[in-house]
Amino acid sequence: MNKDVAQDKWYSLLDRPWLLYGLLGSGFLVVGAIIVSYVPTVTQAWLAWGLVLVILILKKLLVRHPLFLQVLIMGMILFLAGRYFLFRTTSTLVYTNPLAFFFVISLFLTELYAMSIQLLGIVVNVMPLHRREQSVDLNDPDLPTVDVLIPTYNEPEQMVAITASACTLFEYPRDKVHIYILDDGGTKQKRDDPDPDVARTALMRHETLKNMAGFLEVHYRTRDKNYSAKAGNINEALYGSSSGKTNPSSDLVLILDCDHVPTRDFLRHSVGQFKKDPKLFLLQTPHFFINPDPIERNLDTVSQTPGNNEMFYCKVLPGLDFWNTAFFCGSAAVLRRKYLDESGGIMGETITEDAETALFLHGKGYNSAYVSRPMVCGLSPETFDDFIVQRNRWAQGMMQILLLKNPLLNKGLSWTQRICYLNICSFWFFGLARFMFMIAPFLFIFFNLKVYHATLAQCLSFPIPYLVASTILSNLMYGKVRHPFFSELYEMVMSFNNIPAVLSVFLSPRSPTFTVTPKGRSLDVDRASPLSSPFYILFALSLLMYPVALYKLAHNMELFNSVLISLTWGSYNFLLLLLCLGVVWEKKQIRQTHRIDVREAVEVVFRCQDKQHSVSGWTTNISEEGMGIILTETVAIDAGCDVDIKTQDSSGKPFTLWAKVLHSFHKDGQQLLGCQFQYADELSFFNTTDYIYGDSERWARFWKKRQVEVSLADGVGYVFKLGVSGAWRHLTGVFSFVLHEFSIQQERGCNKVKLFFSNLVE
Amino acid sequence: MQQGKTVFQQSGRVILGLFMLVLWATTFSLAGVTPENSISTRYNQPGLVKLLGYEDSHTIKIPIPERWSVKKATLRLSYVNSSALLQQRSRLAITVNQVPVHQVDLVPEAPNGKMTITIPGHLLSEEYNDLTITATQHFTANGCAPGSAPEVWTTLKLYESALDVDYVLNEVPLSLSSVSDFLFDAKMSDENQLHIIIEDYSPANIELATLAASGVALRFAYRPVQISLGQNVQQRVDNLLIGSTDFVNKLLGGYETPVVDDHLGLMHLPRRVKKAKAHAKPYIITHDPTHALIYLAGEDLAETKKTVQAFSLLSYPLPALQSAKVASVLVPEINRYSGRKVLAPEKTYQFAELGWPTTTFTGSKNGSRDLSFHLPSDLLLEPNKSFSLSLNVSYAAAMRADSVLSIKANGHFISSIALNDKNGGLYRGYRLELPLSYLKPGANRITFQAVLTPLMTGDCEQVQTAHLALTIFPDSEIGFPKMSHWQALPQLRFLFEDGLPLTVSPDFKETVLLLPDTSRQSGTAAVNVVAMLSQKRNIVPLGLKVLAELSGVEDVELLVIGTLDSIPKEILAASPLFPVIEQPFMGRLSSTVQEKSGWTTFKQALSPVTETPEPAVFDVAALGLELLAGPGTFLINEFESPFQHMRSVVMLSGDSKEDLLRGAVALWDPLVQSRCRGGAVIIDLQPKRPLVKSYKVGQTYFTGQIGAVSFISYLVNGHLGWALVILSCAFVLLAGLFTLLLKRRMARKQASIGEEEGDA
Repeated sequence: MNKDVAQDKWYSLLDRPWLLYGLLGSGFLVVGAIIVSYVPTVTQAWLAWGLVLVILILKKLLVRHPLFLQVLIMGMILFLAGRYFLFRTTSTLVYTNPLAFFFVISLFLTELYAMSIQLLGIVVNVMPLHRREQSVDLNDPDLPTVDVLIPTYNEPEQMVAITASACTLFEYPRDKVHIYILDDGGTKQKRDDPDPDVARTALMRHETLKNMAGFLEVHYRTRDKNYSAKAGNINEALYGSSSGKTNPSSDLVLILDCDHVPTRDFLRHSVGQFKKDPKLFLLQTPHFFINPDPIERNLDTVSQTPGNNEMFYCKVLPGLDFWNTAFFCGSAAVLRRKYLDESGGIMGETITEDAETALFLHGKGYNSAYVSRPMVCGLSPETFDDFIVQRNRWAQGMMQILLLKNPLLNKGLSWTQRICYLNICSFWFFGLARFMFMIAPFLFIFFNLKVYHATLAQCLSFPIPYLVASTILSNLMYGKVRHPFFSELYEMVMSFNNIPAVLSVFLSPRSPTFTVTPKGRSLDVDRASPLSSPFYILFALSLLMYPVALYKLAHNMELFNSVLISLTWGSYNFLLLLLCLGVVWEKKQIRQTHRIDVREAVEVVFRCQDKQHSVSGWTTNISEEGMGIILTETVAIDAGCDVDIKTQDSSGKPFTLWAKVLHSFHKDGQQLLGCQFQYADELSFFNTTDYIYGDSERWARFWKKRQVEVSLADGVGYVFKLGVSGAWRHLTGVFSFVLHEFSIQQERGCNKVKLFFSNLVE
Repeated sequence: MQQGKTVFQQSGRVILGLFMLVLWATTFSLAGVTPENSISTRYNQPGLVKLLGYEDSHTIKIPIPERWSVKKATLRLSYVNSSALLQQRSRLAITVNQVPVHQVDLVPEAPNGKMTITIPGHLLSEEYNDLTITATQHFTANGCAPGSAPEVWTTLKLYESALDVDYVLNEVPLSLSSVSDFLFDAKMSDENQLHIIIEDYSPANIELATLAASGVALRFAYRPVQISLGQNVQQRVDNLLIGSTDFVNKLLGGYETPVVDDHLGLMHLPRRVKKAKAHAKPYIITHDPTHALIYLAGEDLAETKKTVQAFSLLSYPLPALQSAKVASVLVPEINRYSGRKVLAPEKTYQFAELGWPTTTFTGSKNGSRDLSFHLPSDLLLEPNKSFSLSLNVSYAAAMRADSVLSIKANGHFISSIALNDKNGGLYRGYRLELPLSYLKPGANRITFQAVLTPLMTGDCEQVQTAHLALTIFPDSEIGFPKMSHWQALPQLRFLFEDGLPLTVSPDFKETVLLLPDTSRQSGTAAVNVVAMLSQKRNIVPLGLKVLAELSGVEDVELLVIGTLDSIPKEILAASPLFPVIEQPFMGRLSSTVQEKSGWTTFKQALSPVTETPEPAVFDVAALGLELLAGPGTFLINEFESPFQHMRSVVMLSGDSKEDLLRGAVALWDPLVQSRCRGGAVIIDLQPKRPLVKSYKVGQTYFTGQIGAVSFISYLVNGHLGWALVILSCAFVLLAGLFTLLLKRRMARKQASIGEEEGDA
């Protein structure tokens, strides 16, 4: 109580504008004055490294007054950034020749961009809002009605079936939920395609999904023509007439990608927000992926580091939510229909229709919310090239928003919302920035182009302490969801393929078209990604960098400073490059369904050889197809034996699943079973789907398990280890491939020779 | 007996006289050469010169002014030759303007050689004369030895060699134009003197005297000129008479000269010669034709000042008349980069602008040439910025591929250009980007050395070197980037380098000379000091104001000259030496020890150029004693002005007026100047050669213009501790405010969505 009174007293200070602005002005004046002051390099070094030390100490003290200390640290880093920027602007932009100056300015702009993104990121993420999910009373007669829209294009029908069936299991009055499968793969246009194969496939898909919809008692909708991709598909369902049926018209609209299987509590935990806030137009929830993305899989970091999207869903979106800028991510989101109608449905001028719609409705003054509980389970792209296709679409879409819907000029948005949208859109320039950072040391070492005019002492006094402090801040803000140097890795690995996509939007902002992210693809063998070429070139240049640098040094010791700076910078890039090589060596992926490691208690009832007995145990992993179990006691069992697996989920809901033992083996003195689910009827299918996908707590636990902060030192060591092992795997893989190809060619050659001689003999 | 005694006595006196004469001559010859008379000091030569190879020479430029009629010159040369030389084939030859005047064998058995030779006066013309010392050296009889054999050398010890020129003064032409090319000439290497006559020692007259004295000093270029101040004519020295026409006529009337009605005129120096008492007049008036009296007059002060300005400005054309009136004076525009060879940022200069003629290096022993220039001492030479050299060079064919043009900056090698095309070559705009850290504030020189090697270099071959040639054209360029002005003071080194801080405006328009005691001595001291300082930038101090009181000294650089007891308390109290002056104590003042941090060591290890270490500065524990010693000492102290931040006070004082005067005159000595460093200098005037002790005293402060707001930089640098404390407070304040703002927003947000605070 006393604390509240004290806090109110402090808040009342803020209500006196003259005092608030006076204090803020004074503070900024002092900090700004010292930023613009010239001090000798040695003083700057003491100042900068002193601040780094203070930041490290404050980070240790962060347990008490975490927000205050975090803001203090941010302030200090912005101060260092300011000093560096001033030094960079006033002292290092030196003209020597046109080409060198072009790169001098390019590098400067790149750094300016990076600093701006950091500043915007600090604003966005200064205070993430972690909302609690608002459960509704399911007996409330005023519960809003919900249309669940599941747009699909070319995904496997089984995938659609699972998602749709999961929707039928929502803990929500069934009469208030209307589920729609929106099939864009079986449109009339597709069914009438002149190519008979395409037409046949479309027809089969159309029939299958229509029958399945009937079976699941959900609606099936398709349209005459494919236009405006996913946005057009949804809008056709909401407003079109080509299906000849009544359009959905519930209070709320839940949009789910067809590979996003919702948990049964989705609506129960999301609809309540709309009752609390009448101006709420959007409630977004995280996208939880059951399978590792290609980067995680190829580097084998699945169980050790948080996934690529966790930073976005666990930190960035809560940060955006604080500023009322949580935006629509295309799926796993509920929208209020009446506001959606104001935008004419899902907007489709850009290929990120989701963010575009949110931008429009934010501009209208409506609110959005984000609940960080994972309540859908989806699939990441399986291969690196699919991953790049997805990211390039996002990049192009965001560029389109920046160019066509410039958030800074949107008068309906608050300034913080403009900043947030600017940050979201301009982030996608990272490819250009990474490319510039990558080639900068090469420019000096290979071409004698001096693009960074600073001495070693100045580098140690201005950029290095700033970079160290920034890394500490990143670790502080995102440490649990993004381990050190993984952001750099993600950016680097995407950059070379991202650049053409981004530049193409600048050349023609309206030209990009929606490309569906391929999901569920498999790889038969380990192989280099088709997108590896740039990394080979950079790898070769990096290797060549060392002898060339040494040669330069041997011939002109005057260049010691410049060579040392370039070499250090190049070596840092080289480490990231090694990681990239590990990423673009794709590991084979033949499993169609993905297992997730789960440890839950089970009772296994064996029903074989006319005997029936039960043994307790716990699960090791589960998937759509089956389950791995460790038994607490050894049982003589044969493959093919039927079992009933009795278990319960986090909420205590009991399940009995019918399965067949595929294999049984012993390991470390324990008996392990591999079981495959069996479906006697549609109920058992629903039952199994409900068990596997229905429990949101399981996904939340899985996320939290991976969110462990590591120290910077450990992070560096880990990244180094990953880089070396990844690059080694790639290089040995390529070597084996070349050897294999060589032996094939040799064999063919021998055969030709043999054939030649046999022909000769004949 | 008496007579015999007288004869003996007379003989004894003669013998004693002869003995004394021999003793005096021996003493004189043994005394050798004093440092100030040595060739290296007087003719700006290195102390040691090494002559290498078969044939090598060194040339010294000997200036002979038009005013001198040279009778003879005596060269006393010391050298050491290699003991490996072959006497029959090794010679040291002296030539004057290519006329051989002497040669000696280089004797290996007696390697330390000294020679005294007389050079006839007619060989030395009224210009710069070449005194060339050539060594031909061999160590084998057949000559089949490598030309670069390390045994073949002779070292000239110029620091203990001297050239004495016996001359008489020529008659002064009665033409005003002789002021520049006859009376005051930089070729006059002897002790130069000037006497200035003014009506009284008021600030206005001293201001005129400083202006005129500077005009004379600038005509002597860099040479010292001792200036005295008085109210009457002084004999055996050139006199400048400054004042109103009435005053001039009154003074000259005493010498029975015709009434002067022109403002500017020149006459032979009049003098009174005493006559016998019986004569009607006690003296007669004659003239000294070897010295001049120049009057600078006007009807009023403004007109007199105009005349003095006309006289002082080197650009003002003095007519070939004995007297003239000054109609108008066009004062040239002066900016902070005005001055002799002073280069400005963001500008490119052709070598020709810096006095570089088309320069050809020929042969294998071609020496080196310097491109000299000056950078203002307060320029901030950031090490990451670079200056550019764009060279236009041509070189001859048939040179070996290892021929190069080496380039040094201030004695440190920095770059070289390969001359490796056997067919010769021509480089147009050969561009070198070199770090600014190779240069230093103040005087700089870029040295070009052509290392040219013939294709044939065999021991017994005919080695042809006449074809070796390289030319650097005067349209080559040197360019500078944008630079700021920022310098930490106090540092008296800069005062004697280019007058900083008093020459922030080279014409002293931002400087006030405060003379609290307007006596002859302090006036003379001021005139000498200002004249000496004006030589540093080669600009007449047209803007200098002389004041006797503390009014109008707020936003200016302040030069204070006076005895310690006459200096105003406000200024004295601002001096870091004030406690010592007021209440001497034993102990250490703050900031008195030269610090060398680990970072400095690290920085020096990384720096491509080794900085010349500062001479050790005396611990100031003894400074109190020095000041207490009082008489016979002269104090220079530089500190921040108590009236305005980023402005300085340079205080010159002594215990007495005589000390003040002697100290000011001593500052003409280049050796004294070169030893003045730090924030305070004590010059002990008692020894024959003044003894200079420098001290690092006082709080560092900054001057210049940097960034958007220089004053903030000044505050931060000057009070770093406080700046950090205030910065920390600002961080805490801003963090606190933003925390509150964020928390309030969060509270409101949570209230609107129905969540309890603390959930976030």
